[in-house]
Amino acid sequence: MEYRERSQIVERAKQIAPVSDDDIDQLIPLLDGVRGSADLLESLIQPFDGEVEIEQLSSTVEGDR
Amino acid sequence: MATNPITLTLAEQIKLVKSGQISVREIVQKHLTRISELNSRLNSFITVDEQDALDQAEALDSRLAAGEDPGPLTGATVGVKDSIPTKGLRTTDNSRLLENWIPEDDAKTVARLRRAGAVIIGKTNLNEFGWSRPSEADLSPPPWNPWNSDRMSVGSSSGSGAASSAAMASATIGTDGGGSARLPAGAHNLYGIKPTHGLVSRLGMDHNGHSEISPLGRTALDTALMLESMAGFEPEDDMSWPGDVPAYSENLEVDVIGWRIGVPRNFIESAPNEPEILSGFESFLTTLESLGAELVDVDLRGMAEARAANFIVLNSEAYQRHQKSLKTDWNKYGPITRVYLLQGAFLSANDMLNAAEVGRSFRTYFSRLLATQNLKALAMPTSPFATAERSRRPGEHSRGINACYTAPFNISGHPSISVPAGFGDAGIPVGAMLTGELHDDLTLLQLAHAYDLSTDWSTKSPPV
Repeated sequence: MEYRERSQIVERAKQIAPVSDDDIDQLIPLLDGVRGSADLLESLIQPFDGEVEIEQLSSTVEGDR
Repeated sequence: MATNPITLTLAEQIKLVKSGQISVREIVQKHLTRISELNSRLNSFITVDEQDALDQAEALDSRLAAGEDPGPLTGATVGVKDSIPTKGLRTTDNSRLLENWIPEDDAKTVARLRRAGAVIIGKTNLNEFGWSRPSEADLSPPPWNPWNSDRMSVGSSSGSGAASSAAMASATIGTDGGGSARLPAGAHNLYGIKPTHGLVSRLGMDHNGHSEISPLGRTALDTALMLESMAGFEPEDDMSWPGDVPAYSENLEVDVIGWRIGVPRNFIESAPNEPEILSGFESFLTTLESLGAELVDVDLRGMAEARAANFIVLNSEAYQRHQKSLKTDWNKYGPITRVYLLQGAFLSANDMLNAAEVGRSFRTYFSRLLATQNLKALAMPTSPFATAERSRRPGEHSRGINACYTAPFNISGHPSISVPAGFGDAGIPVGAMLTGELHDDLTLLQLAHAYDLSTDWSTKSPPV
């Protein structure tokens, strides 16, 4: 996920819809969660000949190993 | 007859109709009366067309009078989540964008229910487009929980949960993309199964890879009767499963002695469970043991990653579906919904494919875990939280903590059923959940049925 700065998020959102400052203020914390998920999943992807090994993954709700 | 038939189970209502003790019209009229008494307070239904429901009933009564058997659900009324299209009956998705949409066709599942003899009694309330958090600004205000009508119903199939538990319909159907049918089942003292991916076709409604149309009933038998009428191959649906559907309701009575049930205690203990959740869950486990099941502690991995993958897919699909309308009709969306729908615009194709790969790996892992440990199912609470308000706390809701038990099995496709497990301090029911092997929905229904017969949860009625 490439959008990390508020200015990037505002620019992208305004390409789509007439978002207000309130909308952006609601959106940014949601995107923090989405970005965390996307970064987590990207970190799990293995080199070309490898598979994601779930047995090596977290055992808690918060994703701790 | 002295007993109001709406207090009976769906299976009992069907028996009364088939034995000629009551007409379909009488059952429908009683449910319509119940809806008119409660709906202004509970907001469970968005649309009810009384005349249409009575017309359906009279057509079924005519067929019965002519000696025909209109189908296994004759005598049952079904409330349909308002995201599922119904021919000739307004379908709004609780959004101003679809405020006046009257579909020309039924979704395939609704058509199957009608062919089985069910009367579609109305359209049940939901979070706008089944996504985001409910708001008083929605087209239809949020449903209240009949077990404590000062509390909101958990969603997104919130109206379906409320309508079924308050006997406004014999049973209801919802959709479950991350827990949206199992969570309201748990919070309304119901049996709600998210079927194996592909068992119940979504054809005729929006395309969503991991959201399953799910029945909610007051007993395990009622839910089994609903599922066997909804399930089946639809050749035009590329996600539909071509295998035979077992006669679930005829095969519920089994001895579960020696059945091994996995309990992932480490994972469960890591969740922010409220005390009522844990006491209800322990009581559920005790009942399973009393039935002869063997509880096995298991090390469960990857639930947080699978949950993350599921929500990446849900966000991507939600934005993909709404990308044009968000540009043209931004102000018609609810102020919370439109922001939730926008999240997927910030994800890439690579993010989506990463989520799909993790989901596939988790599916393989979970099936292997069941097989290698010879488990019939895995047991967990349905939700860590005992009220809708608690489950929507900012910060946790956006990370899907309320769906920490449910969402991983959407992306994996495994069948998963929520069963009643007691009540929280606010008087709101809490649920426990069993998840089993792909295409073995029957085992879950059998376990749920054995549990149902040995507890009295399904005999309880909400105080409305």
